[in-house]
Amino acid sequence: MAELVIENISKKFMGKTALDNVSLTIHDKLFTTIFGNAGAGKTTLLRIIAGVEKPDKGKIYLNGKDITTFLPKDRNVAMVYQSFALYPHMTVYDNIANPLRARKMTKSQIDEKVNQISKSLGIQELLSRYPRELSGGQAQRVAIARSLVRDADVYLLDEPLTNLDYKIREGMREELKKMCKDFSATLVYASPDPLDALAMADRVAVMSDGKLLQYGLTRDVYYTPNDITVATIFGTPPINILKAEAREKDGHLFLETPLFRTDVTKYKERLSPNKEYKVGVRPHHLAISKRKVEVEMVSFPAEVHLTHVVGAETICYARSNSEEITIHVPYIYRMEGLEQVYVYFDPAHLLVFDKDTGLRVT
Amino acid sequence: MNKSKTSSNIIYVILVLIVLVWTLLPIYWTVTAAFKSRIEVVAWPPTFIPEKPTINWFIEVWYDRPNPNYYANSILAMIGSTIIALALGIPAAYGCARYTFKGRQDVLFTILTFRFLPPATVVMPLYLIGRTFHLIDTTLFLSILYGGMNIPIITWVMLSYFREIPVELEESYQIDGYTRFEAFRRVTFPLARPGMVAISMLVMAFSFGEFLFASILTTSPVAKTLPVSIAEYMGGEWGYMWNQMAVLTTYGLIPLIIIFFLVRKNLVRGLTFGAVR
Amino acid sequence: MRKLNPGLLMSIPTLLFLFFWFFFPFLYNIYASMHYWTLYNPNIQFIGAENFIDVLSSIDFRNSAFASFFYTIICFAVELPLGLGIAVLLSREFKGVGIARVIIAIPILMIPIGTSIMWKLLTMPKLGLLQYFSEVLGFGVIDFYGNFWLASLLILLIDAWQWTPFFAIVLLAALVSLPREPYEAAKVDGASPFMVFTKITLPSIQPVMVIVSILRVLDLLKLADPIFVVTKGGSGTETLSAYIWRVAFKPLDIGYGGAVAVLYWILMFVLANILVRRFKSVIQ
Repeated sequence: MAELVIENISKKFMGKTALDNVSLTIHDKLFTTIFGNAGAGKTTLLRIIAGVEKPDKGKIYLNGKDITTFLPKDRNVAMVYQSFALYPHMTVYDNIANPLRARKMTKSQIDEKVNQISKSLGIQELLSRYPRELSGGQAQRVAIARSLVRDADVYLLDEPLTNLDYKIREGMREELKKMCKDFSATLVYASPDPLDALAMADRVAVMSDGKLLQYGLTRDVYYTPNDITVATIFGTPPINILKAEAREKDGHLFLETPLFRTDVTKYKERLSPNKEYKVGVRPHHLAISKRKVEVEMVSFPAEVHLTHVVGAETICYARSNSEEITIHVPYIYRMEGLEQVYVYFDPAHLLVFDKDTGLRVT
Repeated sequence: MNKSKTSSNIIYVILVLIVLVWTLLPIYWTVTAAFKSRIEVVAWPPTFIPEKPTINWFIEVWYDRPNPNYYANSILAMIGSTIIALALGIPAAYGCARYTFKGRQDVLFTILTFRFLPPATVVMPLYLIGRTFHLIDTTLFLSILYGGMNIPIITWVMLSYFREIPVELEESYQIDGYTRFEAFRRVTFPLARPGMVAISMLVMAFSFGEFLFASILTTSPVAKTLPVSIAEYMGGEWGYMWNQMAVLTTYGLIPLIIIFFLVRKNLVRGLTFGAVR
Repeated sequence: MRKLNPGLLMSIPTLLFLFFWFFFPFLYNIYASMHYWTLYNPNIQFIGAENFIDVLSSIDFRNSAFASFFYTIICFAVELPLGLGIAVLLSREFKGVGIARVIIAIPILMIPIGTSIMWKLLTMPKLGLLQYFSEVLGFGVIDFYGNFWLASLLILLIDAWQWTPFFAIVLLAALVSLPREPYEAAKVDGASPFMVFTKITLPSIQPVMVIVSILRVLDLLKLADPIFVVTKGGSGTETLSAYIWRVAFKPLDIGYGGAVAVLYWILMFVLANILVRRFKSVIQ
């Protein structure tokens, strides 16, 4: 049982706010991702949880115990750094064994644990090497092994995939998720990549400029973001945002954008006529077709001017009525020159935000 | 192409040889002078190889001096000053490298300022202070002063070394379950060792050879250091005593060369002052 | 009460130590410089700026200040390029380079007084090896000890012999630890060796060069040992450090010596500050 409660944590560096009154509860045996761009305060939050940084204000409770003033060594929290922080003058074996030695285990106990963890991470062959003799992916596994070898209450991972190349990153996502389940570990994972959270996390906390914007189940945060900031930063490629205005006509309420018009009568209570809004629709909720087809969806014409194939999927950049639109289609789409297409989407996926406050309205 | 390469190689070898001869010939001349007789050392034309090599001077200088302790005094002052300089320089360097605090720049530049202080400007007041505290004629006094003079260079060199070692390593070590001090001792310290060894080597060479303080702050024969002893063979009623001075110079080279060979592996990495990765 | 920052706490003993042993004596100097004070005479008398006026109007003081600057400039101008040249020479990999690198470092380990004696032994008329070479080559006796320029040349030789290796090994260490990639890229781009040296090598080792240069220049301004041994301050070779020694310690005139010390210290402080400020970004 490990429950980590972060209560009203604030931290300033040289007068600059790094964390502003952050509170959240990390639940037992779940994979929690702290998501945010560089400078959002993710790393500072992890460092405060680990105890290598002291908060200016606020408290941290682990299993109901106030650990705010505890030294790192007394917290039973493990951490993997973005730079891996492997000790360059120790072998891989000694690196992994280091936390165990601190716990005064016997030689054979240590041996057994190190061998076990390195087998499950596929790094048995590397045990006698030094960190400088490892590739990026290997170093990362060693860093993860060094924290997982411990029986920690919480495992903190600070962007461990950032320094790896694309291919290894994909594979490691799967493995990390599996590990979390296999070890039934409580993981807190900081990342600037929405895909990390979407692929692995049970829960996600979205941060920006030291503030916690939204915290909840990953799918909830993704499909029903609190505000336009969360919608914009959490999702890749970024969500399409358009200006819109609500208009009343014949007892129906419509949202009008430069590209399309859609009936939003069912949100009548939440939208007021003749008011400006912003609407967002995620690129993968858009579909394209070369011919106009009659379906129960919103559609508008556009001109695709650039495509970018990722794996077996394609990101299309299109222009319509001088608005830029990104469309993410789940197949390979190759274009021959500029192509005129029709873009479709289900109006149920439309997110409407208040123009001034940025809060989600529907 | 090949021909020009060969000729450039020949020029190269010649240049290296010139450098080596320039470095070694004076030393050879001095060391052989220690083996020559009193007459041979002033012979004209000079002899390149001692005609009747003798080790008598080495024995005489070792035993027959009025100040037989000079060797021990110099070595003690060297060790003592290095310990003092490291003990005071490293904490300051570490503190300034790892913590940010108001006035940190001022602290560092204040320490650096002491490096600019010419010993000649403080030797007189120090003599008076030493007399008051009964420190004249002690190796402790020399150790303190040599140590103090080397604190600035130790602090600044180690500062750049500590800065180069990622703070994450120490943090990670603490998260593994150790105290901050253990993290310093087992991670940062071993990683900064090449720099520490290299700079200690320079500090030792400086302390071992220091002349100005030693000549004024030691008055009794038993308290004199090796460089002061060399100077005592110069002039006086016997004129220049070349053999004895050559012997002492040779003696002076021995301990440092031994230390140098013991630590030379650390020197190449350590001598860049942490300014090159 | 706010807790003291640990970093500051760790620096305080160092600062106190330095202040006690080196700044306190300096304050003593300031006090002494304003008094008539000799060790033979128990009566200490306040005389204001008189000592300073005496010092500044003394020809010997001005000469020694000139000598200090002169030696600093010529020694630095010779040692840095020579040291850099030797470093480049020995940065190439060839058979025996390891032992050559060790050998060139030996002069640094010599006792400075020993080095001076050694050079005296090499240059004494009718005795030294250098004089012998000169005679064989037909130049006759070189009068190193009676003429300012030749005496200065001897001091330059001594300092360069001992300290050029310091530049050489520090720069060598910097050169051999440079990353390889830029060189390979430059090779591919077809850059000439000279361009590679000036555009890649020099900028990369510049920080190290600046640091050793500052250390050396400030040490050169304190130059004293060869003067004591080799020329004994004759022929106008007396430097500021040697001058203090002569006027303060021999006659034990603490007041006058204090005034010289204060002026000398101000000079060093101003110079050091200019250097440090100029290269602040490099040394950090």
